[in-house]
Amino acid sequence: MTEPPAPPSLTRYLSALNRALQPLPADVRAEIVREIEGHLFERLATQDLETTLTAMGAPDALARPYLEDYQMNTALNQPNPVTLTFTVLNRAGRSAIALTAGTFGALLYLLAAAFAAIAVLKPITPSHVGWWMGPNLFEFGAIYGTQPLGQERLGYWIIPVAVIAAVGCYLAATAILKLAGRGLLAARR
Amino acid sequence: MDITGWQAQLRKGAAELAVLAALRRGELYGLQILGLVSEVVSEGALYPLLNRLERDGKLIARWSLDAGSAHPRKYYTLSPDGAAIAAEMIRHWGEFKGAVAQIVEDSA
Repeated sequence: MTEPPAPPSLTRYLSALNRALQPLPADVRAEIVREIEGHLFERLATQDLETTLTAMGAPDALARPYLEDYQMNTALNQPNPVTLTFTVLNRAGRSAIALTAGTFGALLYLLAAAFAAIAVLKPITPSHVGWWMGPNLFEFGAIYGTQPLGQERLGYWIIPVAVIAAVGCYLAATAILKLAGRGLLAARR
Repeated sequence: MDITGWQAQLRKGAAELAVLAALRRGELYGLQILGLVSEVVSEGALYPLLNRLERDGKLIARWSLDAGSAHPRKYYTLSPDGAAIAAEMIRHWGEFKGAVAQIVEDSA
């Protein structure tokens, strides 16, 4: 069967949908557009173009669930901390779970980075990194400027302590964000 | 009293069940599925849902250029996992529907 020419506004709609789906891999995007195109053409046999396009919704709105699912699945399967955190936080406006988990996750990642920095800085500037305790004094980490007056308790043991804390915070943040991501995906179903 | 939000939540919750139940009839393409579920799933929501169900392994899809059609159609069937999930969802739906009906009838 010969394909009828596409009305200009249908061509524009499909181009806009293709643009809106740009973050998706080309083969996935092409398949989505091909399916929607087939649907719209078939609909045109029984109803007018305006009704057809209105029923399908704006290209951006149609593309959004595809993009959100793809981005979340990608973030969950490739646990890059930045991608994972931003993908969850991106839904914070619509979900209290996303807001809470995204905030805690981001804070835990920052804490992990701080502990890692402590482990790295200790051999470089040993007198300014440590755990000082004394009357009315509790300092843990890297100190800029004058050393605190209290007694430093850990010495070089602060390195393994900081490494363990960094790994713990990193794993906890990843677990929280992945759990939230899976929950958000499930909630869409 | 505006119950639009509640209706939208009901539809959203029932959309996956409706599509899986429709596909228990056999292999269907998007427009055919829409014909069965249009009271619950809008056109704009159907295709992203089919895409997600396929990626989750609940549906199996294939493309076909049917006689008389200018465009290829993407046909969907339930995967074995999808069929099992559909059966389980339908069983739960029956229980849920009965429980809600009982509560509503008792309140009348």
